[in-house]
Amino acid sequence: MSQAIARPDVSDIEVEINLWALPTTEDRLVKRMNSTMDEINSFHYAMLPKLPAIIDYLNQFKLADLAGDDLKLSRAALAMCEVDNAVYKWKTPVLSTGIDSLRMVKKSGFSDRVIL
Amino acid sequence: MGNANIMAIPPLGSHELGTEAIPSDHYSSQAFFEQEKEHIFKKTWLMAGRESDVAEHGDFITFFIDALETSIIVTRDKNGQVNAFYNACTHRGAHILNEPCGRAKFMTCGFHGWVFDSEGKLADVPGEELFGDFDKSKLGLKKVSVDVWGGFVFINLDPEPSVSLKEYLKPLNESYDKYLGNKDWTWSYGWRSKFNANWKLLVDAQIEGYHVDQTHRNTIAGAIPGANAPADVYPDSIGVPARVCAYRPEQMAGVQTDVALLSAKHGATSLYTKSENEFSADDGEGVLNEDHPLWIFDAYLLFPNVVLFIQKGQILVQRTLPVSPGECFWEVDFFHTGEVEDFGQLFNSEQGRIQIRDVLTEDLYTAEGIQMNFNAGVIKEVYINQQEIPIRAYYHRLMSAMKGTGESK
Ligand code: FES
Ligand SMILES: [Fe+2]
Repeated sequence: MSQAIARPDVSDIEVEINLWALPTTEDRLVKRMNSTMDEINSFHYAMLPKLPAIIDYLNQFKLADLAGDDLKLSRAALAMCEVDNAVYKWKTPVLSTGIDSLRMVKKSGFSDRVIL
Repeated sequence: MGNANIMAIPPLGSHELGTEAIPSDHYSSQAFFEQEKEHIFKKTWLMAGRESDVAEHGDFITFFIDALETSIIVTRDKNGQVNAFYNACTHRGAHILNEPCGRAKFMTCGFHGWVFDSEGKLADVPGEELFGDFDKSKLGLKKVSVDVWGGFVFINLDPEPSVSLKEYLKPLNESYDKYLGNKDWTWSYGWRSKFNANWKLLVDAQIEGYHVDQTHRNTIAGAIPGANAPADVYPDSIGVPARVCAYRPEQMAGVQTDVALLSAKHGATSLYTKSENEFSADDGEGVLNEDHPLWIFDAYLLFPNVVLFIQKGQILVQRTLPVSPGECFWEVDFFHTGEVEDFGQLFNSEQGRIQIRDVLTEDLYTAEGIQMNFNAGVIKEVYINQQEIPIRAYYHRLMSAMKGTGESK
């Protein structure tokens, strides 16, 4: 695999990456909902300066080829999408003017009746 | 604004829709609900699935109308026809299929093993001789009216619908059929939920722009100002009473976060972030309002229970189905073109999905409280302004359908 863009050095934010590199959107949602604003901010501001370089680095591979530490890094980067509103708009881990996000249950296809 | 009149909305009282307050008992009355089952859910075209989910011979989907305790099977037969049947074994009435979708060129009832083909014909009966004199050809699955438009499968429990699906969906013309029917659209994600609210309340929440500034004050207010969400009504249409549109403001207010801006470099899946990418699945003249630089989407109300958001690079389908007057299922589904192949696209898709999810949690927040106030009889009527005109058009269409006169106007 040719690697035109070098992997950014993330060794100094390894702890945050390990905490937030959860496999699914739903896992990361639950993590955000169960975190304090300090924890969320700490993750967000650790990742933010490196995020453009992380995305550019990961973007040069096919998704299916991401594995190991790169897969972990990709999950932590996606968690940045999950915390974005909390950091900039709500200033609180959970939106107080919406239904509980967990009531919206993920479907697996158009015809899926996941809730009966 | 380059084109000022695009934001125009019909004046109050136009199209004979009146200006009076609208009563609320059609959201809470059991008697009204019983009539809705008869005159609406047994008589109108209902979106039941996506044609690509029954692409090949033997593919099937099932569709439930809980309020009617009715389950429907949609199949693709060996001649390439899409068929719909009641999910009811003609032996002793069992559901034949329980999965939401799958493939079975022959469908076998799990009770005693009667086998039906994808045209609904009874193909095999174990121990047939036990029945004595017996005509299998009379025991096929009971048919349901079905048609396809825009790549979506619609069913109609009326054995002889008074209007064709195409006629029903006017003013959405051939171009919409083509644009939405494009084979490149694939289902990307969706959510389903159950609410203690009338099924129409969750439709109401998506067809007017008046709520945007307040309801979405913690998410997208600023990205779509209420004043940039004009509406149209189609009083001559049977199945499409109204639409609401959305335009960006000339100057984005609110926060454009770094994450949103990074995401926009890689795609168009967020409704609220202007994409830097081009969308290449255009088909169907005039569907996309691309002449207008600020246009985001048009959302059509498909009577009775669907709001269809059409935009560049994304279609979004919101459906509700009743269980009882004060209880419904709600679901939303997203379709995109092209596979998510690299991380940039995934990041973009994730950002769009989360933004929309958070916005939807706001849209869904008020319905259950409203329902309680209707049920309690505290609120007996509601007031509808000019910008909320689709609600009025929806109500009028509902009432004409209830009189049984809607289908023929
Ligand atoms: S009920 Fe289906 S085979 Fe008996
Ligand atoms: Fe909304």
